[in-house]
Amino acid sequence: MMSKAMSQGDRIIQMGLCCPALIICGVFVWLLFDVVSQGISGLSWQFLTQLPADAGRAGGIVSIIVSTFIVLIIALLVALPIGLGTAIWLAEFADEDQTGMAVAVWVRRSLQLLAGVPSIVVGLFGYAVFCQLLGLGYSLLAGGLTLGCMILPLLIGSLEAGLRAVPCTYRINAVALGLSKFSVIRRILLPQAAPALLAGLILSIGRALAETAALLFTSGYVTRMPESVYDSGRVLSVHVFDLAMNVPGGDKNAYATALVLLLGLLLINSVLKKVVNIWAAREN
Amino acid sequence: MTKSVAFGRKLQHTTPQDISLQSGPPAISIRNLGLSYGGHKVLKNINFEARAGKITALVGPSGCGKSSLLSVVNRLSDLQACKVEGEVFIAEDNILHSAVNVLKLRRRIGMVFQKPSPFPMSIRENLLFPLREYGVKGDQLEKTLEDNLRLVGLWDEVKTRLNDSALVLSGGQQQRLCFARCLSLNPKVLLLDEPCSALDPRSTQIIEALIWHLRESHTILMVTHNLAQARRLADDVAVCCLSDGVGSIVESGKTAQVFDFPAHPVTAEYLGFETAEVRSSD
Amino acid sequence: MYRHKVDIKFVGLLRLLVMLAACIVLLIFGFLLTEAWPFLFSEHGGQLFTDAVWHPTTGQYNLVPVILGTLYTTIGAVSVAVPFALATAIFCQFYAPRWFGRLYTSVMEVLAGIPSVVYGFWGLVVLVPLVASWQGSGASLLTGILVLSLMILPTGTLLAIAALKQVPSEWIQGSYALGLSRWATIKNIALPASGHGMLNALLLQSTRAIGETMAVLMVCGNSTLFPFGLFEPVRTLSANIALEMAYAMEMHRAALYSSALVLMVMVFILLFLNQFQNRLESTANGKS
Repeated sequence: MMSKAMSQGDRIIQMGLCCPALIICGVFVWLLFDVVSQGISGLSWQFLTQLPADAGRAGGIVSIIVSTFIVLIIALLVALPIGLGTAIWLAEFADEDQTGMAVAVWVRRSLQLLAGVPSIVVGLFGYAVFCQLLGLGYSLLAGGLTLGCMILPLLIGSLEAGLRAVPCTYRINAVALGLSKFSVIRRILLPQAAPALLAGLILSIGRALAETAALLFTSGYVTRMPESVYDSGRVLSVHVFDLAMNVPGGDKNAYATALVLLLGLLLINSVLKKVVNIWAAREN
Repeated sequence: MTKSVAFGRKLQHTTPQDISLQSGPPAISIRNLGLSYGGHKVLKNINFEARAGKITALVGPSGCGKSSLLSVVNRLSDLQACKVEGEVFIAEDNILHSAVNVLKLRRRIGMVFQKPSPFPMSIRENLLFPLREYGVKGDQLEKTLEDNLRLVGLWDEVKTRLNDSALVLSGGQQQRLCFARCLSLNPKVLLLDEPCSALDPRSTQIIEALIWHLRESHTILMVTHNLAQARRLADDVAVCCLSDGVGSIVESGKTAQVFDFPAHPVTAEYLGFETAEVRSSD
Repeated sequence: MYRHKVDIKFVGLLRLLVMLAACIVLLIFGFLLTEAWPFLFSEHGGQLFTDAVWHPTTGQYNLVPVILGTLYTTIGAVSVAVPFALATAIFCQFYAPRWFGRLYTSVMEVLAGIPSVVYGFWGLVVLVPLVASWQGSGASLLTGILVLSLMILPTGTLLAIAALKQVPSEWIQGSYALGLSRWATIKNIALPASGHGMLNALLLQSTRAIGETMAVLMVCGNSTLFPFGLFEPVRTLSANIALEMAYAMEMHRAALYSSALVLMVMVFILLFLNQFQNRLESTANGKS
């Protein structure tokens, strides 16, 4: 795309466009530097392994981390079977006949809408259905179920793309041998698509980890160590919110928790990159 | 019509064992076949016979619909949004009838494609996976594995590394593995879609010898653009040509007859041109 | 269609899962509607627009200031973010050295994953005092716009870069070959050719901004009075729900569910616009 020669006018425009890029970089460096520099002082082994005390001002976040894990696992347990099943149907069965194609159009439309629903609204839905109608109350289970609904569109999108990327020759050969689709999917397509599926899964975990609003009224605020999935528990992002907004003097631990959250997401992001690279290497 | 329904039923109850017990390879008869994609005609008025236990080569310029024609015979055409008219008889059954169990049909008809395409698993599993799918068990599995790898001349080359990925084999070996994979299901009909065109001359020679060896026990319908190969192998030849964008069979018959005394001017032009080219390159 | 026995069961199971996935959005809409029903379709329904203020404890439910707050923050954030995203995307794609473009993209990928609560927290601790030292209390429409625009910027930039990348490089090279300057190439070829993708990015990010809760909740001040100035506090629909849901009862609760419906409708209008322009684009492509 680049050509060596640049006119005088282009040089000026280059300068002009350089500024917004630098401003953006500057602001984000400021944001990250702030969180890291303020958070690192509060971060310690004790912080990660102690229970919160004094409304979170003192102590650590071990129960918060445990709650976060439980909510994430429940969300994945819910979203993965539904997501994988839907993705398999969309990628492998929807194109078989006219009806399937028509249904697929509507399924995709519905998932697009779901992806657009604001997380606070999903939270309201979760509250009305899981907490009240199903009688789960504020609980990790209700939070996980709500979060599962939220990450479904992203998960299905990436799983379907992963399945579709598997070369078609395998499918044609399998059909010519008269094999059942079930065993072809199980023995060939899923193993072949595994890295892409894993990447989609990690992406969804990242999204789930960053979510706050949907969990405010579903998994709740309680900072105790959860004893079962029916207990209420606070996730990392809600902890940051609560310490910053409702607890005077909670800033220090809010910073440290935010840093833990960012590090977790960074870890997920780098694992994702690695998985994608492995996949790309296998393709070649 | 009742016959084809009966055929469907008959196939439903066949197992690998009783297929091998069935009588010899069947003849294929294609009658008034037409094929169109979304209103656009690709093939029309296809009429020819593939004799039982013989090799019939389907030749013609690229893009004339030879491969599409082949895919009708095992109903692979079902996968695409295309409309098929006419009749295809295998032995006495019209396999285009809607009541035919296509899964059993495809099992009885082996197909090998242009590009060698083993499954992304071990050499052993490439053969055993389809067999298990059909309920073959125990010692029978290992025996079928060895028999078929021997049949395609691959056994001595791979017997020490059966658990290696099939994808590390050379192109020619992969193609022979694909032959072994489809032969292990005991088909009586083989559809070969330019099986040598992606291979080097040495591998082509081996595959050609294999095809020759499979003659008589199988009815073979083979698409090729290599006229020399058609001449070497085929008992019969059908020439497919395009006219006004629609493919049709302009001539078919015994190989020597068609090559040496083409009845149709289009055939003469196609064969003459190609043969001259082949000779000059030799 | 003939299927293996195992496939018949398998497809049945898949269909069930697909139904479940496709029905979630309908369920959400249905539940919102049932919960909002006692308020929306009773004599209270009109109150959303006719009451004097939003003061649920005294039975006053004027939602207009909150709706305006949502619109102001969203429009403001998008109008701040768009020029920055566009400028940086053009810079990365046409003017910056290749290593910078690549680095910038991967940094934006990381930033796109930062939770909104972290943006909100940073806004609360850093931006609010900063704005306050200039004018007003700090927790204001302006702060909300800044934080929200920062939040949608990474994804917006990534989408804009992707849209520019989709312009066929032959067109660009062809333009250079004619001796056109870079800027002329961008203006006459790259931008028109990527306009559709840009619009797509804009609508998607507006959807995100309109539904965002945490970032605005933490920095906007959350007053339910009519928003008049950049330095006045505002409250958005999403923040309103987050703030009051915990203690809302009966009619108040139903009013909040009604406001969620209003939010959904706003989002759906944006999504519909997006789909509409996608269709326009695809028919335009089909003809050419």
